[in-house]
Amino acid sequence: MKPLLEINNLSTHYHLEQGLLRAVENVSFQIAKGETLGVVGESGCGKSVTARSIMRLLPPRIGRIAEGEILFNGVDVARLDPRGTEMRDIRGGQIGMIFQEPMTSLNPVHTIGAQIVEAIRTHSDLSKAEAMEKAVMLLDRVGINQPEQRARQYPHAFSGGMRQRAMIAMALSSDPALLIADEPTTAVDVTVEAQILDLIAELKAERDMSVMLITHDLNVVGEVADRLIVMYLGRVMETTTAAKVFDAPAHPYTKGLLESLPAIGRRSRLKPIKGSVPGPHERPPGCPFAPRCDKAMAICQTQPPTFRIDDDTSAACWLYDDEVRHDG
Amino acid sequence: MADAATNPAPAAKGDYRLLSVRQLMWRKFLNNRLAVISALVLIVLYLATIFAGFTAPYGPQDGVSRLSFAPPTRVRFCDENAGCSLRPFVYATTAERSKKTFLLEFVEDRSEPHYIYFFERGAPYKIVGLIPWDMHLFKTRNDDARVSLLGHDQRGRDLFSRILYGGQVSLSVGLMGVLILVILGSVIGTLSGYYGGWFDAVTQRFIETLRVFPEIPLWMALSAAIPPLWPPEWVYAGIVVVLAFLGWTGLAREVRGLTLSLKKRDFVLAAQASGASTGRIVRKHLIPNMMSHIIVTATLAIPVTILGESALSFLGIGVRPPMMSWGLLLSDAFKVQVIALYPWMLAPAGFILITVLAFNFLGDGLRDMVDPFS
Amino acid sequence: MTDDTILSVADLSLRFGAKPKVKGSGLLAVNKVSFDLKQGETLSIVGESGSGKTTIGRCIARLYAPSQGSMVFQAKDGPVDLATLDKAGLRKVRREIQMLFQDPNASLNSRMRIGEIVAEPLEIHGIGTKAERIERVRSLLERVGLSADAVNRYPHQLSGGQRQRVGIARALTISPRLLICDEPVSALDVSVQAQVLNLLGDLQKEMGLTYIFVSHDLGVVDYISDRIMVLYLGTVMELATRDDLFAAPAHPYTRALLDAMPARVGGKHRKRKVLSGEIGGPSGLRKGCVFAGRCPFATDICRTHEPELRPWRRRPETRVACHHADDLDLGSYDQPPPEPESLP
Repeated sequence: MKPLLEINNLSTHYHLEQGLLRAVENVSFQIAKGETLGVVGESGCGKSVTARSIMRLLPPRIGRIAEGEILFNGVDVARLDPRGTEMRDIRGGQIGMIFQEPMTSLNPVHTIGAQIVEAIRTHSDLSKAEAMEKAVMLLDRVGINQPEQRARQYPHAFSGGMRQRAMIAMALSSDPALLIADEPTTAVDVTVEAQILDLIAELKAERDMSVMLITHDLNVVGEVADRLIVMYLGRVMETTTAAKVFDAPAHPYTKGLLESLPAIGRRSRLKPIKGSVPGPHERPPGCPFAPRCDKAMAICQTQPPTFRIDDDTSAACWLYDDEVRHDG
Repeated sequence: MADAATNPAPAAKGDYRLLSVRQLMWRKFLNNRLAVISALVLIVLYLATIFAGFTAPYGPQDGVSRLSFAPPTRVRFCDENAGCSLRPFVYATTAERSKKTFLLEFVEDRSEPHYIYFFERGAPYKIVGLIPWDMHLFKTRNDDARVSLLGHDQRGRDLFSRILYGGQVSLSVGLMGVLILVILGSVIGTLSGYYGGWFDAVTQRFIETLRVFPEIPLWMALSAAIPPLWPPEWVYAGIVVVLAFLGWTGLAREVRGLTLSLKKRDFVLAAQASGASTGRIVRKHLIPNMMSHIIVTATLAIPVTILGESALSFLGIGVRPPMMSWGLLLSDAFKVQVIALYPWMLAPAGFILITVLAFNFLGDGLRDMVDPFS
Repeated sequence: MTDDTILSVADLSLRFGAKPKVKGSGLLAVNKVSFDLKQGETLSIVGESGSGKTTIGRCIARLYAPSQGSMVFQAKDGPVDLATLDKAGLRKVRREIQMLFQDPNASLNSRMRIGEIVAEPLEIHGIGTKAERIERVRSLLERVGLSADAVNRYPHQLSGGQRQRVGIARALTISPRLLICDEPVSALDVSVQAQVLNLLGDLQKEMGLTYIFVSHDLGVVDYISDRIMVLYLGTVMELATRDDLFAAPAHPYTRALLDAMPARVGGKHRKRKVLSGEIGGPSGLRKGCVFAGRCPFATDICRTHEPELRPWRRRPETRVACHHADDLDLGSYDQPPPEPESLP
């Protein structure tokens, strides 16, 4: 089956005062219809830039897609005019997006209802009354009590969790085929996090929607994602399934992340990854993880290709190169 | 495979490098071309007025009565009489009574070209009022054929020279006024924001009261209070104080707002938790973090002060002769007839305009610069 | 109070924006909190946002003046009550209590060099000559895992993890005995969190420090603490040793927090149990148990009478504020109880 979203060799560069920042470098992945893909990584790994590239929401004049294609339903989004009608139809229409901090993505001077109505009417020709009806329905669906009254309220009257629900309602207003969720639970409490993740999973099943869930938290991915990619300094380190990643992480970076994660019941000394995520000015040549990797070899000074390990796992690490393995 | 390690891929050109905040700020500033040009214009203006004795061909009071309201002399390089030369020259100006209108008309005496020489000795003056010298940037060798770029005033004095001397007052009033204003505004603003309570309430009400009055009448009232018998230097100081006294309120409010937000920041809390005194927190943590904003506000306050002084002097309640300022020079062009017949008398307005614009553009550029990560 | 108690907090309350003459006005951020802290232990305060955990930490550091209650600290020169201490006394006691902040970007003054930042507490208290201070700063920076050359750098030239190490070095320059850590790792990258946690653990052992560790992450808390205090809307729900809290949670809210944590059981992520509703706003006047609105076991008494924090019958060392705690079996961390039924 053809995937809903297929990204091939995407490179996105930021042209900054300080020089060229290779925010995303040679990234490829696919999302099938009805699938949840987790994108995991620490700060500066390029996960948000990838999402912005898909939505064509890069900062104008600074961020540019340098290479690669983004095939969404067979259309190469990377080649569309970011401000053209086609792209507007996809952005917020066929692809919905929710952000980490819902307060900054909601306009404080309009009611929640009015903002959802606006989103609905941008992508359909419903009348205002019909759109309002749909907005109330959506608010009800995302679990907001008394949706009629709530639709007439302003964002500041909503709690953090409710704002995130309202954002989800807004993203769903155009019945998107793909929902991109950029750290949707980072700014909320654990108890609310569980509720939001549950809601996203339910909605996905109900609408046969695909989800791209961006997060720094492997646990979140383990719960809701089918497959995941692990990114580091703009590159994909590992592509695997949520079932395998905890028991058999392929890439040393993924292993390191798992071992440095404190979890309830884990009393033995944590094994952190050495060093810290390098700044954009000190990116290593070759494998970006090499300076922090316990298993680094001489060959790691060159960028490893992606090695297939089995049907659904691959890793960009020289450890999986046949020659290297036999030499070692 | 091992040689891959010895030959790491060279980093591509134009790659990201770490810039210090200073470098980033500098780049940001240089990107704003208008601000850079303005900065250069201001540097030239300030240098030209500080060394007015050198840049001005004639002294400020050095008038020739027959040249009353004579127009600017034409500076030529080529002409059928004298031929072409790389050295510019002028003709002497003579006044003739028109037989039709009975007004004085000025004609060039084409008999002899008078060349303009650079770095010529001439009337003695004192550099910055201290070191005596007699070198001038440019002038003719014949004092009867004067080069006057911007014409003459009623008493036949060279307006260009007078503008340069007048700029000493106009431009310095801006700086001195803002210096006092910055000290007043930041001290009161910081204390008001940091302590809050009754001090804050009192100062805020006071600021509001000051701001209710329209500016110009208030300036007028205060400067009218300067005793008319004071020597000119005292009057100058008085004007500076009046302008600063009315200008600090805006800065004080801005600084108060910044203090309110900064004092809740973690690094201030950390200093408090270590037992730092209020003075130390203000000195080490608040002021350095507000400095860039204060500089921007101060830059934008300079033109306001310059305009204030010009307005007062124009109205005759600012600096008094023999001191001069652009506003005072402009007051010579007070009458409609003067403007109609001798339009060059408006030249000081042009200098005020350029200075005010330049300071505003510079302020904008600095504003971009202090926030280099935006 | 036993001999090795370093801090004894009793009935601590803080109201923000209270009008002096209106009873119950303002925002009750901390509500009659009491606990003892032993020398050398780590007490964690956990709760959701708005639970008042950060506020308690700041009260003890006297960044806020409490509205009520006492905080008796065993200073080197004898016990003092932090709540009523005057300016001079406070200044003295601040040599022994230091704070570590959540966001290392915000807690370091971007206009100061690392060396100045770390030396500041020494300067404030006038400790040592200039040369001695420089020596102390350099050795501390090395101890927290930075190179001594970092003294001449500015905070923005360091990574997030390195900045938090600077924060730790600053807190330790004047050799405090009590360190209040306010979510010290939650703003850091996952791979760096563990480094900082291990460093904090090592420093505690080396220097005999006592920690108050404020956090929302039960995983982190389980790793670092000796005892844990669970807070909800400024009120203590449960106070227990780490092992007890996870083996036998006494309060329904603790149970709900554990259920909401992501965790892997038997090689699979278990389904998180979702607590309905959200944390309410802390109001001025209130009746009954603050958790009653979301509690699956709440009965009439919970809505009318505020439960007291008292020893739990099953494990007397655990203290719990729940009317029904003695009748409930909430299982353990990895063994949830049978589906909640209504109380007999």
